[in-house]
Amino acid sequence: MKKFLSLMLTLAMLLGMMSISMNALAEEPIVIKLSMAASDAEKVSCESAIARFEEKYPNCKVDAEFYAGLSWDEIIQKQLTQFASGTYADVVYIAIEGTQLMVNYGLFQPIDDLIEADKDYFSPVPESAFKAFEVNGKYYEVPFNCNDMCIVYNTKMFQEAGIETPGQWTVEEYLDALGKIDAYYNKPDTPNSEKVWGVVTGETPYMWAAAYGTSVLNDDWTASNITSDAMKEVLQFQYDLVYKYGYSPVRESNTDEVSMFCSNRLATFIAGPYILGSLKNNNFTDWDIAIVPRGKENGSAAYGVGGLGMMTGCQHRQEAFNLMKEFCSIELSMTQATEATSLPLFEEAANSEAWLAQSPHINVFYDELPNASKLPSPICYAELNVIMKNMMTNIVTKAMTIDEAVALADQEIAAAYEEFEF
Amino acid sequence: MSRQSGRMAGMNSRRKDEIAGWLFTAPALLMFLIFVLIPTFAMLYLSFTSYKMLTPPTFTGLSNFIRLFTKDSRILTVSLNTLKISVISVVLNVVIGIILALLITNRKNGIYSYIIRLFYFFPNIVAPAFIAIVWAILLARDTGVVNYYLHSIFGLQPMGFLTEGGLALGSVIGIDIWRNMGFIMFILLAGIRAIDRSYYEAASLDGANTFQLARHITIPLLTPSILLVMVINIIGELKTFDIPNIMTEGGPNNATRTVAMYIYDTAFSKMSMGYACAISVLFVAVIMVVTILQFRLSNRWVNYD
Amino acid sequence: MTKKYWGKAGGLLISLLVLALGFLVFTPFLFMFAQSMRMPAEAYKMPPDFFPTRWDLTNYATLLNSDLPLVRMAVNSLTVTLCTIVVRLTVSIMAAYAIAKIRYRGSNAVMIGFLSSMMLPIQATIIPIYIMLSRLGLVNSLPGLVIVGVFDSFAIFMLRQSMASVPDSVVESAKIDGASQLRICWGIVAPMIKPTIATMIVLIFNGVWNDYFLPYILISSWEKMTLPLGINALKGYMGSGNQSVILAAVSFAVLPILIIFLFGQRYIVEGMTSAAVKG
Repeated sequence: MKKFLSLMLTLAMLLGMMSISMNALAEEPIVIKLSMAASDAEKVSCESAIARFEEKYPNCKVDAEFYAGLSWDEIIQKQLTQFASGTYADVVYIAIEGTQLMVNYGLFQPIDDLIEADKDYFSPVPESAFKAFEVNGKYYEVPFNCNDMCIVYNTKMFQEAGIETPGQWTVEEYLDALGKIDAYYNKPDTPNSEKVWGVVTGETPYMWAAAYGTSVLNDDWTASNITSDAMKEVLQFQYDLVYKYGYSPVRESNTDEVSMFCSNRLATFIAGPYILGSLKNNNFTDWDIAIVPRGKENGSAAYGVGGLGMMTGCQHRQEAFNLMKEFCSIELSMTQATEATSLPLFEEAANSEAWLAQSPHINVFYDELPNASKLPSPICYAELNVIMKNMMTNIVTKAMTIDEAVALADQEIAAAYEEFEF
Repeated sequence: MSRQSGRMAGMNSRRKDEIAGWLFTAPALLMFLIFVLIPTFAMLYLSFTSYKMLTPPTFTGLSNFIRLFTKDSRILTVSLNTLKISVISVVLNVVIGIILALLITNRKNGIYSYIIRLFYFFPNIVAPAFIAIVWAILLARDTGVVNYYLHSIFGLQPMGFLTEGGLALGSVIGIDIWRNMGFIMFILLAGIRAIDRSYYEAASLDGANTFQLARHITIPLLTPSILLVMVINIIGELKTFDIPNIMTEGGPNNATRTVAMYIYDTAFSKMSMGYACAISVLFVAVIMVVTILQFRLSNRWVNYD
Repeated sequence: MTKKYWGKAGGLLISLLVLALGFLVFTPFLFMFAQSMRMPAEAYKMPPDFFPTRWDLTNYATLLNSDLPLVRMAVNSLTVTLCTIVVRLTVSIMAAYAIAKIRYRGSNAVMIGFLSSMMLPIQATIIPIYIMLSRLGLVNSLPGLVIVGVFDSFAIFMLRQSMASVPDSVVESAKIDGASQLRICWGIVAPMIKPTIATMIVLIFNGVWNDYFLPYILISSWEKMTLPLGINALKGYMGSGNQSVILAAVSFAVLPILIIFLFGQRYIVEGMTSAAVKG
């Protein structure tokens, strides 16, 4: 026992001495610790942003750590768990889904003053990108990658099946188009494994809910809205896609829309600009963008944003903010435009040749943004996502009726909110 | 004097040995302390608290356990799933293993054994994570190979191996069996080969046929190995995490969620560390019971052979 | 046995049936390997390939040329596995020797204590361990991954059993010759139980190389991922995973194991089954 205690004490002393000496060494340069989550494509633009920052401010260095994970929620979850359990960074990338949690845990500090001071610098960026990170009236993050959801469709299929280029189409017109695809490519006895599908129902109902002008949560994200008639209509639409029309397969956890799309087995799917890189990797060029068909007049596109926030313990606010600025800059936007990793935020980049050359209607992404509705990102986002995924699975696998699934989801959401008492 | 100094020397060298003994075990002891003892006590302590990680744990007494036994609907589903997976796959594994072992015990051919080992044992060596990825692709409902052959050979409609509750759990169990039956077969094969030939010779001289030989000699003498295999396998299966997590992510409506997965979700998704520790305590208790059963049973079989 | 009942032809038939069944059991791997040669566009074409129709390594090239650190992950897996084996065996051999041969006062209690830890699944104790590691800044680090895997009561137990069968006289005579305990442990006893040590190496390698749970919880950046975790993460980052490419990645990870197995098969199988029986 004594031996153990003395060993522990020695360890503690050693660690203490090490940290002191490290601090002493860190007189200069100023090290900004960055915690970043980026796809491999985006990593390039991140690293150039860091390089630009270090060039402009030679007395600063960036210590960057890149996160990765199975899925978007998993990455956020891992980040949150690590920060909650004590890992530290100065600048952290957190998408809108995790902002509320970081703020409520007291991990983020508001950066209103810094944004105000650089108002002119940020003027070419749509207001909605910043508003996504507003919590209780204060702003916490600088946007980095914005992704609003639109339909990606197979131009060759549409052409062959005789469908005209979609514009501001409605759900009826969309179903019509899918019907034409089905009739053209499928025979009544084509087995599922060889069928050409029109679309795959959503993993979560957010995108279609937005297209129908409603949402799974109420307006200020404090309670569930899932039992409303509007939401039930959305869910019925999803159910019909599988069972009434047969345009969609039953989604499974490893359903890969991009693979299916690129093998010409899927005519349309919903995605944000992040998907363009994958399309390029698969050497697929017969695609174009259209708005998500409107279910109601007041429908809109759903969008999510990822941005950089400043942790509460950050000592060098201005330097950290300067780093954040590099991630929301015209140079970065131009890279985003040419590499097609996400929506270029600066207007100039969105109107550039490089971006517009990707496809005839790629401007749809940028045009949809001002009126787009935020992805529901309450404080219990992780739980909400699991509940929504379960609900959708229950509905499309006919495990429950829509009313039952919705009632269960409502209950679970209420329980999830209860757990996050602050 | 020589005897005295001899004894003294003996005692001193014994003392030195004792010190050496402790020094040698020290690293293991240290790790045991840090990674077994302390976490166990921490786990016990935290199970009586509510701990969200940022704020220090707040003592809540038995409320976690009360909630676990009364208000938690998921623990029942999850425990049942884990139980089903463990019991069914172990029983089927053993049955299939015995049959296979009996069928090929006489084949001594080197090449044949080599190929059999390759086919049956390889799934056990590959990481469960990779197995889950490959099988998820094979079992996909509308794009999967299994459904394709079921349709073209038997004319069956596509089955949701991963999307329909009962079937999903069946798929997980099936994959576990696929993975482990080779391992079990080889253990049992070793057991069979260890049985004294004279038993068989005597019995067949008395006119016993193959089935009787198997039933009255092989299997009874094999029961120690069978028991051992069953218990080892069950404890491993109780901890299942990798395959259901990757293949079905908990399955349609929690149909394939296991206790280990539930603990992970509660701790790292919902960040309710206190409650997760309460579930862990329950989990550990169950495993302890099964392990103690193993020791008891092993005492019995150690005796008669 | 079977021979006598069914006659020679019958016995042969049964053996062939078992072989055929075994082939069926093995087919998923053939599928995986063959599909990895298919181009993404034909990934979903039925019927699937079970043998590669052409040896097209494009998918592999894509994997290795992309930014994704597949090779890095393999290196990580190898590093973690080797370090764990070395550290774990060192610690375990010394402890086993002390308990089996020195038999100092309290060694039995220590052994029982160690054994009791086998009842504690890592899935339960991971929570406090995670919290501890994060305070020490060891989360998302490979050393952290290794440290967690150092203590292995099963290894200590197996080594102890094996050492117990080494006659005490060997130890005694070495002591009389003036050898230190250290020298006896490493120079004399350990070499005598080489088969057991080799078996332990196989078991530990298998366990750590294939481990998914621990890296899943502890590791969250690309460069530090091990193979099972990393390939799984490849699968679905924003839905851009591609079936053939994923299978190529899995084939890449499984191939070395297959090759080792093809050569060391008899030894591995016997080692693993005997360890299970003795335990």
